Order: sequence, then structure tokens, then C-alpha cells
Amino acid sequence: MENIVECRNLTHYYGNKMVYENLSFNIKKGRILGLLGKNGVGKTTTINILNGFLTPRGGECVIMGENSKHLSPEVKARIGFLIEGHIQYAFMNVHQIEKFYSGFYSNWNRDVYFELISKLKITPKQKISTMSCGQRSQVALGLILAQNPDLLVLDDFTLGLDPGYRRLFIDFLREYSKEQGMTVFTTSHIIQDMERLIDDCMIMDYNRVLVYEPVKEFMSRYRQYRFQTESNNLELKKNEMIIGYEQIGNSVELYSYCNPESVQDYLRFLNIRFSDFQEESATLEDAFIGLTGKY
Amino acid sequence: MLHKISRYLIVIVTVFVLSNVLPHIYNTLFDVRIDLPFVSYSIINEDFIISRRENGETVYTDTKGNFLERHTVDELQPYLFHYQLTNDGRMPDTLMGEKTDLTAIAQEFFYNNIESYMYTRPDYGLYILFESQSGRMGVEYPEDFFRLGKGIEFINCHTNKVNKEKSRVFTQAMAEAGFAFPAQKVAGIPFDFKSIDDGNFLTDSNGELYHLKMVKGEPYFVKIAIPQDMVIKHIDCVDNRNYREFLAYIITENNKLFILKTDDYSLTELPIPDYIPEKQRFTLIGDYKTRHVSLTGNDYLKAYAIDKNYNLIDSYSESWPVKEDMIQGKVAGILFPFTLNFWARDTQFLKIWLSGYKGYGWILLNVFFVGLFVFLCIRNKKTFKNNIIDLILVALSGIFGFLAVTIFPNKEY
Amino acid sequence: MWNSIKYKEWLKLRWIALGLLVVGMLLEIGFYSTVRHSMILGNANQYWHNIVFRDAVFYRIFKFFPLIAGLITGLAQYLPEIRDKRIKLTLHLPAKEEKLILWMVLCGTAILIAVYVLLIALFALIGSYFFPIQIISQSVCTMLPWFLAGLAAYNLTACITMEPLWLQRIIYAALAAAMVNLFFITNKFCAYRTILPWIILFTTMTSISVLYSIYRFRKGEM
Repeated sequence: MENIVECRNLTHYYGNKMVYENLSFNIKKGRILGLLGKNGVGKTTTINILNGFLTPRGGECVIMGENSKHLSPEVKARIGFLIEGHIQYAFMNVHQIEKFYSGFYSNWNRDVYFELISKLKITPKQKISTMSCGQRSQVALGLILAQNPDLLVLDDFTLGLDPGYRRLFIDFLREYSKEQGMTVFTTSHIIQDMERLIDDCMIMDYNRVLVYEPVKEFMSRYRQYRFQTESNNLELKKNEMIIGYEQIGNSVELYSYCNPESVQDYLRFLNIRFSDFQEESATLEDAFIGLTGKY
Repeated sequence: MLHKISRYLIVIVTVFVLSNVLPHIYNTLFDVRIDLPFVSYSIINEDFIISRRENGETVYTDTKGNFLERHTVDELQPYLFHYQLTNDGRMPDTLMGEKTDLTAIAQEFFYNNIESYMYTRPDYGLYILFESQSGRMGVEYPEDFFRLGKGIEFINCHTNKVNKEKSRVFTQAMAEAGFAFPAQKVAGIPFDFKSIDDGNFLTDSNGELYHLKMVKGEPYFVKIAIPQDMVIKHIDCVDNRNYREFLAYIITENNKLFILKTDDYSLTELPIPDYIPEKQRFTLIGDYKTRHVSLTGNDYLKAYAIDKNYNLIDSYSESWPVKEDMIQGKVAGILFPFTLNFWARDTQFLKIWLSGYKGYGWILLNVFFVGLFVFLCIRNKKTFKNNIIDLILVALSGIFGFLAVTIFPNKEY
Repeated sequence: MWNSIKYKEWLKLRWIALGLLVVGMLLEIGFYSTVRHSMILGNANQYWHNIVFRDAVFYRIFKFFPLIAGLITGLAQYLPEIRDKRIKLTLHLPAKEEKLILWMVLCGTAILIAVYVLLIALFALIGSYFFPIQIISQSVCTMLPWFLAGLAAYNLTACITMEPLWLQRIIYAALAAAMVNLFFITNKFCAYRTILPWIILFTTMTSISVLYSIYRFRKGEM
């Protein structure tokens, strides 16, 4: 499958503080890739590099064959960009902003825009600045979908949205993008929504990538176990067997890519007494927390 | 590419702004007062007396450097300081073999000056023609102004409308006298503090000189004979109260200075060689026996003592160091390779001109800034190729260029 | 495409432009009312005399209005772009970025010049009732540097507003104050006539300074 976006050996620092080093990833055509991470791991940095608003200290991103630092107008026309917070020109109303953007895109599809707008309870002349967060998100989504882009880049589209609007956004986006064969790259730190949306995930922690594979594959490998132990101060090293663990009192939650038997054998090997060992079902959010920790 | 051009444009603008602002700030902080000497002639001593400020006091010397007391100076120049002497009761009964006539002495005492910037200055093109014989003491402002185009037009100030009849009458009178419209120069004294109105002097498009007055509402317009080769550069009217020897100064293109006599419009040349009107301030103090003339330039003064027949008696000159020659000036000359100026001596219009690049001290400082610039480029890992224009700017403009390229950095991303 | 940019800038500036025009007109009506009042209570010939021979400037209350208008126009146009970095929306549009920005500058400049031209026209129209053409023309000549100061202020406000770093903004602002000060060196009527071409050149040179700030923003200065 063709790569719409290829990022190679991205390295960036803010001053002397490293964001990441040698980060490489691709976004395949027609797929939805989610970049998941806590606040501050470099999600917006990556978006800014992709859009050419930041020059990385090292490495490059190639989008549809062009370096992201110098995207041509033709390539830009094929990229829909949602800024964090659904930022739009707030001094316009929904008709004015549609009139503004439509002048730039030859494939402008006003129907999809007005389909989303019709769902909003707004007056025709109401300025975007007076709309709620959720309403603004719909306007922003409508505008980028109306562009008919090949690639959608969404920086934390969930920010400030109620659950209802988040669900509406995700469902509409997924359905429309799949129907049109759009490629989507999105970032978020609200994982439960991402699970409904993304095909591939890239989970980042500070300075490194923890997971980079299709969600289905990742979730099929990821296991979450719970057991009781006598010791209330367990110390377990992270390795191929144990990705991470959390202990509250005598109850331990353990995360692993291995099957339950292998994990139990390993615990016995470490002379850890345990009981009530059971596997729990895990969501992508559980897996995310398991990998990155609660704090 | 355009962003590079936009940066260079704003950097160049910054260089010029700094070259005005920084020397201005320096001047404000480190300016030095230069007191100009005052020179007048003593007919008693047959020598010039120079007064100047030294250590906060006024001192008086003659040309040989002998110090004089203030009261001595009064007595050596009795016509010039007749008020003081009369007040002190020190005025002698006879002076130079003549009985002292205080009235005549007081009457023949006047002061004129022409600044160097009078030759080029904004002009509305509107003038006043007073009634010369109103029958009242002094002069009163008329209700109209006049302007000159293909003819003369009088505009009433209250209605802002042309007085067509008055304009027609005066235009006709001017045309009949041979005036070739449009006028080149117009000179007069448009203020009511003058004792008597002597109208205006005009030159026409052929450079001929005319005198215009309004006498009992009717035009008085005469042509004044001037030498054929005389090209008039400037006319400066005078009002010397009750002393009515001459009406105006006439300055010609070749910098000759004449007085225009009242009685017969004759021209008498003042014996002052080297008069450069645009660079010197002309001052003439007239007293009963002498015309004390000074031409003051930027760093020199030339004084002339002229008798009442406008023959040269004696002359004196001296110069003084200008700021550029003093410590403050020398430091400024090193710090600031050039200065952008807006004012000039010879005009009341603004004028953009650069002064500087004097001496060699600025070269050293420019080299220092070039070195500093190169050091910073190396430290910030900048390429030489991308910074060559900045380097040239710093080399040419020193501190200004260095600050400009630093305020607007040429970062390589 | 360029109609869209014009449309966006017009939406941002239309009410500001109207407001400035109204305020400018009120100022002009104000000082001309004072002229009329002074001429009635005093003498018209004395009033003219003060103007022609004593350098009185009957419109001096208007002196800094064009400067403030330029500043307000610049802020009205560029503050919405820098708030939450909305300029990214424009820079992401499928067009040459520099051309987009230049169009924005052109729109702002055109609107500002239109306001200025209308105000100058009104000044001349009302003034022609009170004064001859010589006073009007020399007064307009005197005011020209004030209007150019307004254009320079607009250009520099754009540059300062779009600059991503606060320290740089402060330095630019100090520099801009020094630059704009050069338009107000003297109150002598029409004294700038001889250097008008230079002042116009100077103003023009600042007109694309915003490109430099946006380039820095583009490259991620923060």
C-alpha cells in the first residue's frame, strides 16, 4: 500500500530539552493513523513539522512526494488541516467562512459542509466566536471535509468537546473518510474516542515510540492481568514479559504481551507468591495507560 | 526569497533610522554649548571689540587681545551704547568733534539680520497689501490677502471671494507698468508692528524689480531700475522705525548685497566680499556713524566696519572649534560612521543628507563590529554565503548595521 | 482565490474603516467648526494672518489621527491572525504563501488609503468654503507626512503583531516608534515637501516587513 506520508529520523529539541530522536513513521493511503500520547510528548510538534510550521533539528517528512518544509499549493490543496481547539476565523459566520474557503478549492463540496451545519442550532448570521466548542468543531470538520482532501491532519480534535459532539465528530469523520478513501492522521490524549476511529496507532511516551502498529494487531497482543500478592511493595523490572504494572495495596495489575501461563511461570521464577490470577479485557485506553503509566 | 528582500528592506530602514536616532541621543547626553562671539567696531579706538562668554561671564577684548571693562566698552562705542551712556549720564556733550544730538543718534540706530535659511522656505503664496496712507498712526491689517498668477487677485478673508474690481484695477496698473506675470518673488513686511507701510517688492518673470503699494485705495506701482545683468536672488524688506535710509536688502545670484535707497530707489552695494547667503547669518547693526556687519558661519565669523557712505573701514575674522573637533565630537565621529540629518542651515524645508565618514577612527570601530559579526556567525554556525550582504552592511555602517542585522536576525532554519 | 482574501480582509476591516472614517469626519467637522467660531468672534483676516505668517495650524488636532488609524487598522487586521495562531489557516491555503500575505497587506493598505483619501477630500471641500486654494493645498502638503506615518504605522504594526517572540516585538515597537517619529520632526507647514519622495520610499520599504515576521513564525520561532 502506498505511503501518503513518510517521516524519517525526525529529531527535535526545544532548547536543550529533547522531544524525540530518530522518530520514523509512515501513513498509508486510506488508513487512519492515531498518534497517542500524554500532554507534552510531542504530538503537536509532529503536526507542526508535518505542516511545515516547524523545522526539525534533524530528519524530514515527505508528504505526497514533497518535503513538508516546502509544500506546493497543489499538495496543500489535497491536505485538510484541523488546528487544535477547532480554531477558525471567529469573526465570520458559517456562510461567510464557507464563501471564503470555497474560493481556494476547485473540488469544494458545499453539501457535506452544510449537511454538518444543518445539525447545529445556530442563526444564519451567528458569528463563530459566539458558538460553543462543539458547534465550532462541526464547522471546522465541515470545512475540511468540504475540501475533499486526500489527507486529513487533525490536531487533537477532541479538545473541549462534550461526549456527544466527540461521538458525532468521530462517526461522521470515519464514515466520510472511508467512503472517500481519505487518509487521516490525528493526535489525541483521549484514547477511548480514538479506538472508534483509528486503524493504526502510534503510542508515544517521552522521547520514544512505544507502539506503532495497527490497533487490531496491538490489541490482540496486549494482555492485562490482575492478581493478589502478599507483598505490598512489589518491584518488577520491565522487560519482554512485563511491559508495566500498577500495585494498589495487595492488588496488582500487570501488562504484558505474553500469554497468562508464561506470565505466571515468570512470576513463580521471581519467587513472587500470587493468587487470584486472572486476565482482564482491555480497551485501547487501558493499554495506553498500561504502557505510559497513570502519571 | 521575498522574505529575504523584506528583511533587507527593513534592515536598511533600521540602519538609517538608527543613524539619526543614536547620534541624536548621544548629542542630547553629551552636547556642548558653543557661545558665539559678538563683534562690533569702535570708532573711537578704530578697532573691533569682541565680546564672548568665558567661564560663565562675558568678557570684552580688542583685536590685540587686551581685556576691556564693560563701562569702557560703552565709552569706546558711544553711538552703539548711547542708551546706556545717556541713562548713566556718561554721554559726552561732543563726540568726534560734533555736538552730541541724542535725538539723531537714537533715530539712526537699527538692527537687521537675514538668516541663511530665508532663501528656501515654504510659502503660502498669499501676501498682504496694507493701505500706506490710511490717515491713522501705524498700519492696520487689510480685510484681504492677495495672490499672484496671471494677474493679481485680492481675496476677501470674510467671504473667501475674489474682489474682482480691485483685482482688475491693480492688475491693469501692474501690466501698464510693464510687469510680466507671473511674479517670481514677492517681499514685504506682513505685520502691523511696523511704523509705516512701504508696500511690497516684486520681481516679474523677466527678473525686473517693482514696487507695489496701495495709496488711498489706489495702486502705486513703479518699476525700479536695476543693472541689466543683475539677477535678484532674494529681497529682504526692513522697517527701521524712524530711520528711513533704505527700504530693503537685495541679494543677487552672485551673492552681492545691496541696499535699496528710499528716496530714489538707487542700489548701493555693501563692501562685503565672500558673502555666502546660504551658509552665513548676515547681521547689520547701524548706528550714527557706522554700519557693523557680521557674517556668521558654522565655525567662523567675519566682521566688517562700514561707514555711512558704505565704504569699508576695517574687517576682522575669527574662527572657533566646532563640535566635531572637540572630544565629544571626535568620539561621536568614531562611534557613528555617519549621521542622517534632516535640518540644514540653508533651508526651512527639511533636507535629507548624510554627514560623516570623517577621520579614520570610525574605520577601526567598523572593523571591530565586522569581527564581532563574523564571530557570532561562526558561533551560530551560519554560512558565509547567506550573510555576505549583512557583512557588507556592517562594514559600511558600523554600529548601525550591526544593531540592525542583530535586531532582525538572518536565521538559517 | 484572491477575491476570497479580499473578502476576508474586508470582513475584518469594514466596520473599523467605517468607524475611522466617521471619527475622522467628526474631527474635521470639529476643527472647522472651531475655525468658523474663531472667525466670527475674532477677525477672519487675523485668522488667515496667523495661518499664513505665524505658522498656525488650525487642523493640529488631526495630527496623530492618521497614525492612530494606521495602528488600529493593523491591529484589527492582524490580531485575529495571531490569536491562537489563526494565521496557520491562511498559510495552509493552497496558494503561494507570500502572495497570500501580500494580498492581505494590499487589502489593508487599500482600505486605509481609501479612508485617508476621503478625509483629505472632505478637508479640502469644507476648507474651500473658508480658505483659498493656497491655504488648502499647503495644508494638505503639511498633512501628507502624517498620513504616510499612518501607513508606516500600519506596516510596522503588522510586522510587530505577527512576530512570534515577545522580546522581539518590544524591540520592534521601540524601533517603530523611532521610525514613525521621523514623520513628525517639525510643525512648520509644508516643510516635508522637499523630502516627500524619500518619505514615500521609506514608507514603501516598510510595507512588506510583515513577510519577515511571518517567515519566522512559519519556521517555528517560539
